[in-house]
Amino acid sequence: MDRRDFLRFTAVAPAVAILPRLAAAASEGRRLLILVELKGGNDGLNTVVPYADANYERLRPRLAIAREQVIALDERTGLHPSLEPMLATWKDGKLAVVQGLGYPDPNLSHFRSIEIWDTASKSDEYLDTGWLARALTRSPSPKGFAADGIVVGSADLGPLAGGTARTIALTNPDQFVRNARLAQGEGEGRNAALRHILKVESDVQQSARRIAARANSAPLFPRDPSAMPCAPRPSLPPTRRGVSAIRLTLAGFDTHANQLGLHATLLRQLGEGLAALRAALEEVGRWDDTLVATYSEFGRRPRGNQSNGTDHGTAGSPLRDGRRRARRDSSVPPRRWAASTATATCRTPSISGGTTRHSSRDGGKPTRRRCWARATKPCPARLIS
Amino acid sequence: VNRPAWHDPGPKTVLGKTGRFDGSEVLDILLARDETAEFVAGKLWREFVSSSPDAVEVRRLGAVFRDAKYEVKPVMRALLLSEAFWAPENRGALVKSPVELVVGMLRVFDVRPMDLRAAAIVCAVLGQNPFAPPNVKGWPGGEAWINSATLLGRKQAVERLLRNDDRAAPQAMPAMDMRAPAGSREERLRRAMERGLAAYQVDWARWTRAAPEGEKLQHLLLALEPAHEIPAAATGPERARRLAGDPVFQLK
Repeated sequence: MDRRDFLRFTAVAPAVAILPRLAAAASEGRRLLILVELKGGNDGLNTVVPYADANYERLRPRLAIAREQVIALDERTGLHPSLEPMLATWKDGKLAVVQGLGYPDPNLSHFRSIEIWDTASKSDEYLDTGWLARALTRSPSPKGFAADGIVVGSADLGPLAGGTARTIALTNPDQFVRNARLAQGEGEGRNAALRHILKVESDVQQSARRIAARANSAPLFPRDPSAMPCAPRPSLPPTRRGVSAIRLTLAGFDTHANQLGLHATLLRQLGEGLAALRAALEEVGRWDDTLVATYSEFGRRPRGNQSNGTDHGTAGSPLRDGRRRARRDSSVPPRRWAASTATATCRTPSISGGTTRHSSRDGGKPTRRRCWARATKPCPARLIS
Repeated sequence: VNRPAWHDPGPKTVLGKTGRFDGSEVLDILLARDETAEFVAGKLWREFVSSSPDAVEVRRLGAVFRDAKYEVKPVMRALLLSEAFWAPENRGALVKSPVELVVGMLRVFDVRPMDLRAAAIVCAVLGQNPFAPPNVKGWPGGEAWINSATLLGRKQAVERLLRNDDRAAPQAMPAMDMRAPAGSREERLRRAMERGLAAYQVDWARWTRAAPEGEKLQHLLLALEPAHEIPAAATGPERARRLAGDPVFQLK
């Protein structure tokens, strides 16, 4: 297995491995939300390509995806060729693309912008808890669920941080269960810090018991994606061990330089990962009540930079996948794609939250970036489905 | 390197003052304000006293800092002599950072590593890759250090370091497996941590000769009474292992 092969699959592999243990039951009417964070700021314009627009090739002479390679979704828009594994889902009418999704007064710093997304705050508002943690605090998961949320392969809990929600972070379910014996899970907390540690210990214990007690111990997914099972297995006995939300992270989307090959690899991981998730969800009978959604801290500027990359932009084009995808939106498509799929700003990335090392090289010449999309008003997000 | 062409020399307004400022003049504007010293005093409070700074005390400490022309020593002295620092309710009220946990363990158990790479990898697995904070804001710290993954990682690190085996301590890091390992970055790091910790070993015989016993051992290892009862039968290294496995060992 070469490096690309294993990279391709690992971002979702732990989630795929845990699904049969946790999501094998449409428990008590609770649906499943799977969030996929594309860390670094995914380039929405090369993910969902506005191939029919003359501006696209004009602004990206070296970065545009060739028209004949784009997987056309309609007469204006198409997917990056690496997202080919998503085509089946699209043809089933189970994939939606939200173009031009952003928030007012966008912040171009990675950490502040993802904080705004994760906490669902206003641009100038600072909140301590993630939006999902708040939602799950208000509407806790049914009793017997292994956890409210599971964060796979990321140190920070993002939208699941804070609050009283029970969130488990893990990289490998088996290892989690093995190590859970180290958590004692009881005791009296004399201060807030100790109470927090004891709560995490007891969450670990509860979750590990339920994750360990799975009905079917056969490995559901081989490492090699080409050996994916295609026939559904006999359905697992219904259980009540569920989970309300899962968050995965796919990193590396900060494509300031040499974007084309890098982005193609990343999107292939994403496409294959989402297809693998779908297969896993179908196998456990949860595809019908699951929503898979991607998000990213921002999109990237329409105009390519001097390093064959793109710099921080504002809006992106997240995907919604699953039978529970958002319904067709009635909002009017924007007149110009540029205004909505990635509203450019005049700010150079060097002033965005200390990311100077990301700034594009302009050959030392102080170029004044023309801001051709500035005059257009923010448009309602366009939803293709 | 100064590139005048990259600078905007026009007048700017910073916190109500307008002018053609250079970098150090902007710093002067910041340093002229009380909030700057109070901001730093608040950070010191969160590092040394508790996670909830006392507003009155932070103002007092900020004034000490500013009056001493931002000399660090006077404000540290005032902080460490404050009543809050010594108050019983602020004992063990803070979560150790991964660096504090790992370096603290190496010191208190008198491990003398030849190579600190494994210690750095452990810190990275526990969420604090030394000298590489996640962003310019730094590590969030406090209770955010502890989630299910990092807590189990901490406990695993404690268990591995304090393991009871008689093998002679290896002299250096075991050779790294150069084959591309399968798994995510997190998994590879975690395996590197397990391999690296195998190179560290407590010399229990040496440690036992110098170590205190009973109450004193507990005070050496824990800032508070343990959360779980330690059986009286557990003595020596076994008692130390149990105390270090207690949740209170994560606190400072």
